Amino acid sequence: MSSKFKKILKENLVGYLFISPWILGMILFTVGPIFASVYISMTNWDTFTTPEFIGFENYQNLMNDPKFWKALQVTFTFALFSVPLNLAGGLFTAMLLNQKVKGMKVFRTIFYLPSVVSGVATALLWRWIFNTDVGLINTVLSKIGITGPNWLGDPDFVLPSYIIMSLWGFGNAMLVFLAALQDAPVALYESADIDGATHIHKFWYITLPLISPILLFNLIMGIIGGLKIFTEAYIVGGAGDSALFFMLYLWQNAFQYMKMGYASAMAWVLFAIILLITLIILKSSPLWVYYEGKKK
Amino acid sequence: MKTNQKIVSLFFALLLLFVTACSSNNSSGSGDAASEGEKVTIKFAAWGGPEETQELQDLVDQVNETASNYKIELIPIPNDYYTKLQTMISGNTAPDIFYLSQEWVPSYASKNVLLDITEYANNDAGLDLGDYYDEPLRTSTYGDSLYGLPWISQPVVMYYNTAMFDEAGIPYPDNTWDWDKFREIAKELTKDTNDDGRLDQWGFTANGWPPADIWVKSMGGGFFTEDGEVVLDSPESIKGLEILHAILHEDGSVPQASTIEQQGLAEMFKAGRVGMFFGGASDDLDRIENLKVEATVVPQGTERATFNWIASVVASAKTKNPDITYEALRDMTEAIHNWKIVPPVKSLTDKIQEIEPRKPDSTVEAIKESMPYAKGVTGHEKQQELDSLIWDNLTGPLIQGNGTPEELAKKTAEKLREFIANNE
Repeated sequence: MSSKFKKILKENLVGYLFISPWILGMILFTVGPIFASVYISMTNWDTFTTPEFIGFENYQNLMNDPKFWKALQVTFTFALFSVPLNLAGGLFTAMLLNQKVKGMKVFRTIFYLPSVVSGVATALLWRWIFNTDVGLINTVLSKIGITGPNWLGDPDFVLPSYIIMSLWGFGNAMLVFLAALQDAPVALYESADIDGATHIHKFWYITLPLISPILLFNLIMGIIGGLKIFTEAYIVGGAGDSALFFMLYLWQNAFQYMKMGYASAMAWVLFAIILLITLIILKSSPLWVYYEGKKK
Repeated sequence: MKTNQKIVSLFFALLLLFVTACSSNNSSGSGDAASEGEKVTIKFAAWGGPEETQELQDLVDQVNETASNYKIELIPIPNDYYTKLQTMISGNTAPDIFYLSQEWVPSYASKNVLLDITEYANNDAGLDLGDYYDEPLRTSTYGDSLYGLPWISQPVVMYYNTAMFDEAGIPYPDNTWDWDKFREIAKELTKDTNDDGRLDQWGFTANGWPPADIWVKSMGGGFFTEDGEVVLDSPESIKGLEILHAILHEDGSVPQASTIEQQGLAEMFKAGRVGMFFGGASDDLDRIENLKVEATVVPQGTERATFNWIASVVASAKTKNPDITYEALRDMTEAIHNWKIVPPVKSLTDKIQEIEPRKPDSTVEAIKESMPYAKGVTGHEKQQELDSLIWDNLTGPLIQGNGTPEELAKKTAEKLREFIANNE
């Protein structure tokens, strides 16, 4: 060992020591299981007996499993609507909460509050909101003469219900948007005012470019979150397999059907899909994301 | 310099501690060292809410007091029982004995997770297997081997709200009722009591519970034969499903599915909004304040049939001292027989009210009458997948009214046969 290396090691030892609990935890409880699941996904394993190596059979079986495709379809349809709506809702609310109004801190707290509530509690609450007979939505609808649908019982309304429910959680995106909006230099808006720009002009030419990196961040996080939805589906359910979300089917395979290998393969397929989508978005980002001080 | 060395040794000490702490888990699982008169620790996993767990703990303490060679340690698992159990078994920390519901026995037994107790039970002078009802014992058997002793066997009986019958001037249900009579009365009990144009009282309720088994078997059909052959599409089975379908969709005597889902199936009965309810024998439906409830057997078709909810105490195949584990299993199960109703043994059927004094006479009579013909699940190594298949293709659509019983039964039967053929 060279003396230089020794010196560096000595200097950094305390640092490593301090982060060692995290490193150990990370290796044992995250990195280890990740690598293990690669192997498990290539086995036939009921979790009790010894795993039997079967190569890519699980992946092949997935391709022929109608429920796998159904789960993918349900999950993607959900994300396709829920992610843009959440981004738009988050951004719109953040802009409202960026106004100079008395008591704004109270409003900000109120709008962020739903994001702090545990997923299970939220899901239980929404089950009531969607109740056909006495639920909040249908009661309001009946006041204006509309007979509300059977939200969670009618297969056609299950996904819309979930999308509405997901809007409850835009608080996190909103918070990040709000921080970005507050960072926007006032001088830009002032000069725009002098030039006679309208609100729409200011939004389109100043606000949007300035927050586009944040939009990118929220988009990616939103997609990952949307594709991984589980708690709501586990608690709320829905007619037939109209709420058979990917993670729910994965859980069923792992812990009800005892097909841990198959479930692991599903996890890796979802990982590959998310990775691919993220890469595409990142690669496309120079086209629509504006970074200050960086010339195209 | 010195400090650094100290830090390094501290680091390794911690690391060592961590690693040993992790690995020691492997051996702590089941009953260590029976040697030198020391009592073997038997870990016992069980589900149950806080109150039930406290009662069970008291029971465990009683058993431990009389035991000479073991000490049972209760591991209560209030939620996600099977997820936790599965993880414990995979992680080599399986409890020595544990509750297992009937639908999981073939699955666990086929994976060699359970201790075969056939020999122990047959050579045990203190155990009278003949005292057990056949059906519960069948559900703890897989192949020709016995894997556990049933601790509960609850036939589904019919509870009814007497006030509602009195008000309508209808005589109470009894064991002569058939499905036609049942449907007729259920319709009569369904009404709008406050004249607001909306129904607020129903004759019956169903939403997946009670199991379709009851109707199918009462008409002489079934989902599977005892040998596992699919008979769901037999004319008898279809007839049974048609009766259920008519109750759900033609008679108008059952609340909307969404209303049931949100107000709770049993809760609606407890709130006095539903006249008749099919429930397990130990449900608290007959001891609700301000509600006078009696019970009788479920109506008959061409035969008498009802569903039987059964669970056993089983032992882990990896337990260290099978002999002692078996003893603990037997003692614990027998203790539970005197605590929970309905005990799956004939000798205690007359003592239901001693075990559970809150149970009214009519319910006890209904239970006794149902016990000989109440049937559990047939049991398959992949029961959970079969159940999903049945729910997705039969029960779910039947409740929603998507498809006729005949279409659904034929399609589901085909899928069941295909699944079973592919998994043999």
